[in-house]
Amino acid sequence: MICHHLNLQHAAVLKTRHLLLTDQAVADLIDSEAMGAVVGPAGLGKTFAIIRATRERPEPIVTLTFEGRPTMRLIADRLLHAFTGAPARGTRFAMTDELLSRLSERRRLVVIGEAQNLTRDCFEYLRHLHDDPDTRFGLLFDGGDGCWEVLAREPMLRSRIYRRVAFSALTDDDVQALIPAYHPIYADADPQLLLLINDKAANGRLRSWAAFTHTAAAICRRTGTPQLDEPIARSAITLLGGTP
Amino acid sequence: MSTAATVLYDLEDDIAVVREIRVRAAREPHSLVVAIAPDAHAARGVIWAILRALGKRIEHLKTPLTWGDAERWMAAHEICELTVLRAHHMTPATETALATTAHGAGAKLVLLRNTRTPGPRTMALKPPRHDATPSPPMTWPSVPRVSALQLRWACLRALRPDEFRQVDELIQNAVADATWWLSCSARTTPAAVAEMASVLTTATGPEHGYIRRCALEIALLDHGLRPGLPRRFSRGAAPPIAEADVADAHGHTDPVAACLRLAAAVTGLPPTELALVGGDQITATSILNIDVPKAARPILRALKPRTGTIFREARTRALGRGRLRDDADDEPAAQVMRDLLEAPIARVQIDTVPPAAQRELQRFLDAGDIELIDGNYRPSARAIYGVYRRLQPPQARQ
Repeated sequence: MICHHLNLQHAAVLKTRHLLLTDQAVADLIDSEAMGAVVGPAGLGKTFAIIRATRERPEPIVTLTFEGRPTMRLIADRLLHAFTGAPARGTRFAMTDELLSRLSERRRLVVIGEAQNLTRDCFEYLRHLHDDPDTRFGLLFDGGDGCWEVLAREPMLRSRIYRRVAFSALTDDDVQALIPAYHPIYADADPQLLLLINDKAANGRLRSWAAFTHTAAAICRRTGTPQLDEPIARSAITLLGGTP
Repeated sequence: MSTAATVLYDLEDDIAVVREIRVRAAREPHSLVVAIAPDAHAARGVIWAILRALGKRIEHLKTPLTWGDAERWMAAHEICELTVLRAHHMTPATETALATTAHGAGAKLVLLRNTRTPGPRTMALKPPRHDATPSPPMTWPSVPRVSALQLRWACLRALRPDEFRQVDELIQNAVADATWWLSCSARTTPAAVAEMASVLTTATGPEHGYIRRCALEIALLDHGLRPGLPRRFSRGAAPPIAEADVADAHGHTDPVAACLRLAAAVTGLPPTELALVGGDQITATSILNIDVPKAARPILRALKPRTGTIFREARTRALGRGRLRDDADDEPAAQVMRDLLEAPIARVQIDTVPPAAQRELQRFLDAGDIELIDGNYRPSARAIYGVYRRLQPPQARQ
């Protein structure tokens, strides 16, 4: 069971085009032990889509996220820690050797979150591990704003990215087609009301839709209203800091 | 001497180029491709990249690593082309040392750089530090067929100085190996001695075999044991050599350690007997005349030629000290010989020797190994020289 943003209850997984493309990309990357990227602005559901795509896979998935500017040693250390469960020991030289051995043991997927934070050396290092003929892992870069620009700047990655999914905001058509199935409060909602919410509070971002729905569902519960109506929607928009 | 290394530039750092290089190398068994990690620009990282690609494992790493290790193993694996991916990570000094190493190992060097600006297509090399051409197989001169105790003296007279040095070194080393075994092994039962003898006398040819048999006889006599004709060494019920054994042996960076691991798998011998295996009993294709799989032969080629025990490490694993076998008392003639070989001044009164033993000693008297003067057995000067208890060789008349 995947948790939605804010642990939103009773929400369905929206089968957006990007979600389905991510499913396919993750499967292809694991099966081909290739490199790929899932990129797009924050809040569009990239990480959610990756988690969903990997949860049924039998191969081990290692997910690392680097908030700052990581070094090669930090990457080696975190990867080894993920494999062994213990802090890495020895020189970076020995750590790299062990990593090459571990990554050769069986097929797996390594997901690097916030990939736009990686330096050129870090990409080189990951590429070194991935290019080794004995290693058997897919490598997926999951990145937010500017990630693709960073990846595209590196010639070494340009020819190696086998699958790329570029997330974008939901369009009005997407909203009208998908959101009614997202949560019970939208079952019979007016399509124009959904567009209003998207315009005022969500901007096509699934994370914002989750936040709005969480807020609106709470109001519905308090007021004993099973369905979303315009006053509830405007109250929720206000609570979220928007202008109703 | 100056040769060129080829420098290729892949400005786009295209995976297709890397794949093509690897596919081409996979078709050519003597081609090696290594990739330089961005953090491995200095010598150690590059040396290890080469050794790792040749099957070495970090848990069997002998430190410190030197360029000589890379050169020795590349030559042993008969690598004729070394391609280095991402060569731009190397420092100029490392690149020069690598080029010299590849040249010394007889390998053509190809450097693939992914720099944005192309540079020269070749680089000049300095002459190699030394020639890594494998040593020719060890051959043995024809040695006189005299008694074991007089072989050294006879060889001194009959052989050229360089031949004598070679034979003398083998006699001395093989005697020392057998002496070590007899002194420290707790298994000196007749069967164990026979097993040791079969290992110690395994040879690559008749001359080699004769020298080793004489060395065994010297050691046994020196320990009061009766020499017998050693049986041929056989592998017995040792399990077949598995690919994992070969891979594990290849994991060692130290050629001797690699060969010890291989020899254990090939011969099935315990450490006590492995410690007896001489470098001269290992050829480019076999250990103790047992064929080594082709995949493991680079290990044999990496060894430096030498006589006498090669696996000193095995001695530390050998069994603890024990005493000589209990039935040594049943060999009075051998004990007399042991006493006589102690020193040039040793004497044994003939009256104290049982008649049966006197009959056995007649063989040594006839050979001139011992003399009977004034009712005393005395060692001959040649025999004393033969057991290395006399530094200067006796004159011919002695």
